[in-house]
Amino acid sequence: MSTSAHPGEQLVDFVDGRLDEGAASTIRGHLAACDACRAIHADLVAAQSAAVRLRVGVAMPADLLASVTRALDAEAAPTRVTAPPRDLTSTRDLTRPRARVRWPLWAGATAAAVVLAFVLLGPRDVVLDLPAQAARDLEAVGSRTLPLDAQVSDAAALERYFAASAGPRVRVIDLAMMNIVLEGGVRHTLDGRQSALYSYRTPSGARLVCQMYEGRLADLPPPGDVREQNGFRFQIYTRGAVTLVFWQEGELVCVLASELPADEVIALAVAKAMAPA
Amino acid sequence: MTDERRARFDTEALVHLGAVYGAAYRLTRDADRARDLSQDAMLRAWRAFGTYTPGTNARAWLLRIVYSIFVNDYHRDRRAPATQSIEALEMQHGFEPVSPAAPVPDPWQPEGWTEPAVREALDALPDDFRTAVLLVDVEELSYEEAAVVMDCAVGTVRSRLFRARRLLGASLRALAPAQRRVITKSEAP
Repeated sequence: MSTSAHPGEQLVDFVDGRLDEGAASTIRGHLAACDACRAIHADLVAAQSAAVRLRVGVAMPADLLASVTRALDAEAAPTRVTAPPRDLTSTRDLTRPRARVRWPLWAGATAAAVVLAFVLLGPRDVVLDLPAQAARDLEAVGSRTLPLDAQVSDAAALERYFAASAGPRVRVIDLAMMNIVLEGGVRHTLDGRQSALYSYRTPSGARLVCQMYEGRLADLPPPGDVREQNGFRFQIYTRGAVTLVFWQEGELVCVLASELPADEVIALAVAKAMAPA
Repeated sequence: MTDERRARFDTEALVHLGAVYGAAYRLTRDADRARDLSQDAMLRAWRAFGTYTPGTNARAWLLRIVYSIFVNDYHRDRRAPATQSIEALEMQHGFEPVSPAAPVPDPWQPEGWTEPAVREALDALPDDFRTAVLLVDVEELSYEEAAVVMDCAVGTVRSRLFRARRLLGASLRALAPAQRRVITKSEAP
């Protein structure tokens, strides 16, 4: 039985990676000795892992965007509306049937433009190409707005986690020999494609994020630089302070992203690219 | 000026309509109400667009509006699905501050936890607790952003998440008895 105090609600911070290394280490030590807290921890991780499954998008009604656009147009230019809009300032009872309002045809043009934006950009992303989205994911992992569901430092364990969850089967690159520590991983979505994302920390505290998804290197935008080495083509992009190196392994596209010096990121990718067995 | 404002709104806010509808649907559990909630949220966002700081998390800002309408309007609806209190649920699962170790599922083997099963278990939670899980685990907001959306302290978000996830874990464990096994010390993090 552990001699340290039960962490209680702090366990949820631990699961979400919100503790500094000292506090996390204390909790790991406690969990190793306390059956009760280990059981709670397992429930917390299991629940979080299960809830993440609900991240799959809910299909939006096909006409909702046009409907909202028309309502916005009516708000912006009320004198051009042919039918009186309903009272939008009231706190409306959501149980009442929704009033159907006829709107002018010209509003359709704006709706069409926004529909196109949705098709091109997806509902959550604004004018971000895939490398920029991968760069944003690096930042999201750092700010913990993208929590790592599986917090493990063992590459094989993380591979088992990915194998057990829906999505492409991936390998987890082991950088331990370079003193680069695996932090954990999560099933994620990159440009609408299911990916496996995992994160590392270097001894200096810099973060590297690797993602793998089913796709083709040829579908990426023109790279800033290209290296051909060991039979692989490495496409290199810079987005802000982030260097991103993409390469293809079988049906998977792999990307390594970091704010480390570009040469270091490229060297790591070149060293670890591996043809599928 | 209005055209420019509208163009900015389309680019920064309206592109999140899919996310807004998804959040509204998860909150209301009803397609028609989710549709109304989404439309109301977007219209209120348009009116309040002057208060939005460009470059900040527009999706979190919109979710705050969605949640605010949901709390203020939807909760007045007597037909809203009834849930038990969190204390009753904890008692039902035999929770104590720290309960003895029980067989627990391997959290990395969730094949038996179908999405409907997870949704059902989540829907059984009281709204504040369910919302904490939805905002943090599903909508991927930070605790701080979730606290702003729910208009509560970060500590409250943590507390609700802790209790909600414990209950969710226990519910899912009950749904998947075949997956029960004891986490051994060697498997501890």
